[in-house]
Amino acid sequence: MDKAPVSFRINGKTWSGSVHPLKRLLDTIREDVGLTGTKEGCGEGECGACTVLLDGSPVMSCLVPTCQAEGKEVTTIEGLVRDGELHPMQDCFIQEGGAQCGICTPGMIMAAVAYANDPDSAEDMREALAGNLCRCTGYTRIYEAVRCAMEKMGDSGRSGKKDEGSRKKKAGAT
Amino acid sequence: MTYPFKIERLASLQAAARRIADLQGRAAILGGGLELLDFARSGADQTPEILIPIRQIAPMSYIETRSGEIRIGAGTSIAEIADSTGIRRVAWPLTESANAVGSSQIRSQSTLAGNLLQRPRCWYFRNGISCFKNGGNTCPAATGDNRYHAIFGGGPTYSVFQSDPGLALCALQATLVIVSPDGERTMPVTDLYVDPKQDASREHVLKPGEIIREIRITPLTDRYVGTFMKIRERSGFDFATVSIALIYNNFHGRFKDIRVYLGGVAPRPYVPEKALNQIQYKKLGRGEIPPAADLAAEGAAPLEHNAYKIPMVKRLFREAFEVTYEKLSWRPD
Repeated sequence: MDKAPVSFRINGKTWSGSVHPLKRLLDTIREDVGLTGTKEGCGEGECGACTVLLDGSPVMSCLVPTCQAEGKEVTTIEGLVRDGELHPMQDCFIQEGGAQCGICTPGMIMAAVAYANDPDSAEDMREALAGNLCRCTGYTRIYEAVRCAMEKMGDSGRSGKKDEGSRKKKAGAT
Repeated sequence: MTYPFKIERLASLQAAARRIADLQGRAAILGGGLELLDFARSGADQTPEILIPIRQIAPMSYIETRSGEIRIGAGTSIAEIADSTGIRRVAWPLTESANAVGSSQIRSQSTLAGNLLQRPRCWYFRNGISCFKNGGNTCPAATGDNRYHAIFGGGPTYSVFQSDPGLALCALQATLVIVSPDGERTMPVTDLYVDPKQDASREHVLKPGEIIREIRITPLTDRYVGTFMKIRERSGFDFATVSIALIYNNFHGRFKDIRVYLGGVAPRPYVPEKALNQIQYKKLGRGEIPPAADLAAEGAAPLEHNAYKIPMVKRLFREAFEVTYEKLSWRPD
């Protein structure tokens, strides 16, 4: 039951606090950091609503113990805004009607941004978003929104394609 | 949610192995943490009191080629494996199996060793119903709703093998490097999984304090063909209803060195011996495949609700051979 100090970067800022090392990253983000854009859906890794980026890779924050984020960079939906401007993915979700009730939207957008940043990380867009469930839209509008955003982002908007995918941080090259 | 755990940080893998051995069932490794939080939420498993984060102790996340082998750190994520061009080139069934795991989020979080050692997905076990796996002395699936359970093996537990990379690693004849309190040893991955007739309570043979450190694969040469295929109810992401890993080569015009393992049908990776013996050493030819596929489910003893898996096994066996046959560099027909 002991809390322990933990420190990570979230949306470009360093956050330090004291939480139980196994508290779900989702709860730490919502309750301790105070960013409530990240939503809880199923709480068991099925629905993707709680997706955030951990060092650029999409993860389900309901299945990440907070201690795993130590020293890493967490990006949540709040972190996509640049100088008061929405991220192209957010713009396109609005423009194309990619959100209805909205509970899946933050996670859906984070998974879509991860894919747009590294299109080699999945076979195609549908595969990249397979871990995110939406019960309202029927997905068509979401796919349209992601397509639109990827066009807008072009090559310049992406964080750069690396040889073996941007997920490869520590693994040696083979 | 409550967290009945304490974290202990140790200086080396050896120290972690000794500590876990001393504490017996009360301590465990913290790798990706997916199973842990899942169980903590559902309360379906006896969660350990003490956790030892492993990936901070030693380099556990790497893919490298050394001494003619591909060596993969046990803590390497499934996404990193799916991404590796080196693995794709000389151990592609592992790439195919990694791509078949969960969703992109799950692949980023899960580790290879964690995937190999995941506990059964059986809905009785996962929902905390008393069974062999959680200290009980029965398998509710034997007489209950067993539509996703085993058709081979004859119990006493009927949960099925669900690791996609595990199946591919069996076909690749991978070796595990295991750290234990007494030192280090290697073991074929095919010896990792326990026969439920010997011990129904667990799925693998590792004792407390034995830690998988590395997975080693001998690269396939271009004489080999192979594949990993998986039938699942939901194509987006799902566990396998039936899966197959298959590797063989062309040896002077004959099917040779066939390694075939089925997942989703038995508590361990299942070798369809009759079908294998039927086609092994036969002259290459498309016509040899269907008679072998017909034998792929020989010995099956389906439960009340899962006989549908028998035609699936035959069909998948046939498809896997047909797909790989087309990739042989030489074939007579």
